[in-house]
Amino acid sequence: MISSAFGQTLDNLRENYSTILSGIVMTCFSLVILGTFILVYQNLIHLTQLAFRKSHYSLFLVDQISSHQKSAIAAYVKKIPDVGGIQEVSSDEAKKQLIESFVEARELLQQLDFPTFPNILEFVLDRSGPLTIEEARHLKSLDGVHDLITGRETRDQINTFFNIANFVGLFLITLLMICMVLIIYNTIHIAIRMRIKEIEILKILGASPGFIRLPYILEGTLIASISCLLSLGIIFFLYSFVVAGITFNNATYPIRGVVRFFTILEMGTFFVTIMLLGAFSSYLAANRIINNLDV
Amino acid sequence: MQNRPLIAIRKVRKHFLGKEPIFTDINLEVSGGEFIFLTGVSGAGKSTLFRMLLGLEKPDGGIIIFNGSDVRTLAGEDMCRHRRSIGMIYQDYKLLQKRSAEDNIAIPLQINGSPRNIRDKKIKDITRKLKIGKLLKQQVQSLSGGEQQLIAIARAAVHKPILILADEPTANLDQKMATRIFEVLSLLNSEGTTVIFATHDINLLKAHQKRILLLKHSVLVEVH
Repeated sequence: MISSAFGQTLDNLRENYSTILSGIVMTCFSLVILGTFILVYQNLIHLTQLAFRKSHYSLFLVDQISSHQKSAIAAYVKKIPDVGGIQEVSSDEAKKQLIESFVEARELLQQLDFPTFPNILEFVLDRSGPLTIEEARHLKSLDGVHDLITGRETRDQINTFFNIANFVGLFLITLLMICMVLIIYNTIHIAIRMRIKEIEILKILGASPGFIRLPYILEGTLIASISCLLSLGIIFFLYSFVVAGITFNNATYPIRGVVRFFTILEMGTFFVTIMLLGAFSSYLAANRIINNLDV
Repeated sequence: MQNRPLIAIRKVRKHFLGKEPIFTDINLEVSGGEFIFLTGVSGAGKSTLFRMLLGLEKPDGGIIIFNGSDVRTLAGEDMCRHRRSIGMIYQDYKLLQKRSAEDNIAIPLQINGSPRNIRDKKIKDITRKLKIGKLLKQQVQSLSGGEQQLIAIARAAVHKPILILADEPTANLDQKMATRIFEVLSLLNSEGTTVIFATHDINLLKAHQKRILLLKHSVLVEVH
């Protein structure tokens, strides 16, 4: 049955190449839109994550802290995974930095009598999430530590932004996928409608719905597969063209190291998904026509 | 058991909405191996009767037994199997025009799932029997009406069905070709296949001493 269905599919392709070709073009076009959207979305999320990956923390130390305590705290901070850029800011340096950061009001600030500035131990966390609650609690409980400014609110806001972006992105991808199914479905539906007489003949001759359906399912799978391969080629061409256009000088060249095309695994997943969608939508289209036949 | 008719139609009624009743009460018994002419004017219900036998149309009442099964109750794979046991020939041939004659003849064998070698052998046998070997590789749309009908007969008979229903197979053909079509169907009948031949060709009916059924005024009568 399978070999006969393959033969019939090939015959169908030969006889209706113009319908098949327009189906491939339509599907390929929608896949290029879908694939480009996924690629841009993926890279934007990746770039934003990179940009917001590093977060700064300040560990406020008590006023009368011994150098031994300071060293112990610094050693502990160093041990926390993904921590870097540990820097100690003394109270005098803190005052100096504050005054320097207000260029226009420098003279005025110098005349003011500030309360004592705390000693601060600053460090940078380079990971996709903030310090864990456990890590923060432990830091605060260390001898000589007054407080920890975690910047957690900002991180939470960024995380909320990513969650919303992920939801919107997945929603749009799902929407485009549904459009894709409808396009393949309609393409196959038109292709089958053109051959409704053939289906009638097959039904009269005693062909089972499965026998009639199989060549169309193979045809839909083939249309989807060819369109998918073509669209991946087109998206790669567009990607290379855009990246080359953006990174033409030294300032933007590093972008090449950050943006990326789909991995082999992602392309494989995309291909298999589209192939299955092709088979599924052609199954639906063939079923609808077979069930509505007058014979 | 041996005398069980191949076809038993009892008290069958059929009425299409907004039209005169097509059958009010028809009864028929056909034994295996018979050759029957079915005649009547256009619209008398010859094609409808064939469609009912094939399970394409359901009667409003009565029963249709074919080979021991009630056609009205068949569904799914049973209905497919039922249709495969009947060879259908149409006035307009109903061939796949863009395919070769051989591809068309092979369809019932493909549906039956016959292996390639068996398929080739059966196609060879039927084409030899019908003397249509030279047409095999040609595309159907390039053949004449008579040749297309011969291909349609080959397709209907290649899988050796129990019954062949020929719905005015000679209607569009000249007398010479009509005679050939009749001879071919007679040949298949002589090998044991039951044939019901619908026609309103009086010459054909007169020329051959066969059982004749007439559909007239919504009833079926035996005239010969």
